[in-house]
Amino acid sequence: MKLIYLYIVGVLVVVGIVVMPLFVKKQVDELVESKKQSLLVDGVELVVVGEDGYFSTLREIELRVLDAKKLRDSIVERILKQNPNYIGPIDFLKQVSKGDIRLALDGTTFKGTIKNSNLLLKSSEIELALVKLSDEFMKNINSNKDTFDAIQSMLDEKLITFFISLDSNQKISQIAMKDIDKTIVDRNNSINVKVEDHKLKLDTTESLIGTYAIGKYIIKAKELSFEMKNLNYKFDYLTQFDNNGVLNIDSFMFQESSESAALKIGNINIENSTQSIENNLLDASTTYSLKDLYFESPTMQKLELESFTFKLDVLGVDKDGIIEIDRIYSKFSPHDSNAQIELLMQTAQKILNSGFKTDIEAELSGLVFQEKTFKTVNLVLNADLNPIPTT
Amino acid sequence: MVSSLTASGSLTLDRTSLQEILKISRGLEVFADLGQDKGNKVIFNYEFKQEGLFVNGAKI
Repeated sequence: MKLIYLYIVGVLVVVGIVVMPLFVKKQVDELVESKKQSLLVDGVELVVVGEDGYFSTLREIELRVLDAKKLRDSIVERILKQNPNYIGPIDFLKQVSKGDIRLALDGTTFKGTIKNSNLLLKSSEIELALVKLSDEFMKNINSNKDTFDAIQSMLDEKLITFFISLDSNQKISQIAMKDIDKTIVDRNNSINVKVEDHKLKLDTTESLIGTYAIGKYIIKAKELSFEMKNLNYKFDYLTQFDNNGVLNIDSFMFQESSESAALKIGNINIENSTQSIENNLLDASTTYSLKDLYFESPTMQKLELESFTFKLDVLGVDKDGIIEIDRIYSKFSPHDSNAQIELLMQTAQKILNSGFKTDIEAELSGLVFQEKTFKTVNLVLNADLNPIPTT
Repeated sequence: MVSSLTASGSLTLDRTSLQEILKISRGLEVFADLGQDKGNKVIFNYEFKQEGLFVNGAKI
């Protein structure tokens, strides 16, 4: 009897394993189909060129920009839904890109694959490589054989490739860029570009938590070099008034050999946080620090700095006042600047009248400038702006 | 109009840095004399109240 049960269970497991991929594949097919439709509304065409596999499916896809204006408007709409205050800068960008966005982007094509398991609907992996620039751009460079060949070879070797991971809810959890190590030779000049470990990790479970990182970014040409190592930006964004972020760069260097100009920084660290507190008030904190700065240029004397830290805390600021300033600033227009400056001043006065507390701490050491040396300078300032008592 | 503004804090620097600052502006000498020595450092504790600015207790 026991054997029969075991047999039945065994058969069910086998049937489950064999049939499950059909159900999961159907679900993923439906998902791809709905994505195709929504992308088309946004001006992007998604074509599944082919597919292969039973327990896991590998779909070959092609993504082409049909109408860059529609795509831009759709992205803008999503940004404005989350941050209505960005209307000003977005309107400005829309004006700037009004005429040529379609010429610049229509026809841009990516090719790649979507890979997912059909045993369980879990994460999917997408690989997308830029294979064609816009129709207009390709037409323009067609007349110059050298330029065309150089760009076409970069496109052919899929220099710009993204690896995108989707979680089980089909939300993006990571975007990584393929490492780049490319030397472009043009007559007497050559430029080497190296990009390593360029990625964005996201977790949207509650707030938007993520890490943006670049391991190495190097550009080297005959008379110019730029080098940045280990950029790491960690952020946790719940709302405009509840977020924090930490940016760290291990080293930064820019050098222009013909002009004897150079900027080198050993380490840069920026931390900021904003938090809503009780009584409709805000606390905000920012810290900037850098180590081993070296700067020289033909027009300025050499400047060296061992370390610098600046910390600013603003505590108990009127939140409504900040929202108002943000709203006025985002709608700032050069045509109506006097009225808006007047409004900004009035709102700033309102914030001051509500009172707040400020703590500033600054410290620098090892500053050498204009043949003067400052070993250590430390400044602390605590200021209280007390509100007008209500009668 | 805010009802009151109070500010306090300190500026600490080594004696060599202070000498360098005085080379830039001789007008700051009057403040330099108010500094409190602590080892090779000079400390200026300042306070801004309704009555004015005080550095190490002395009104400026």
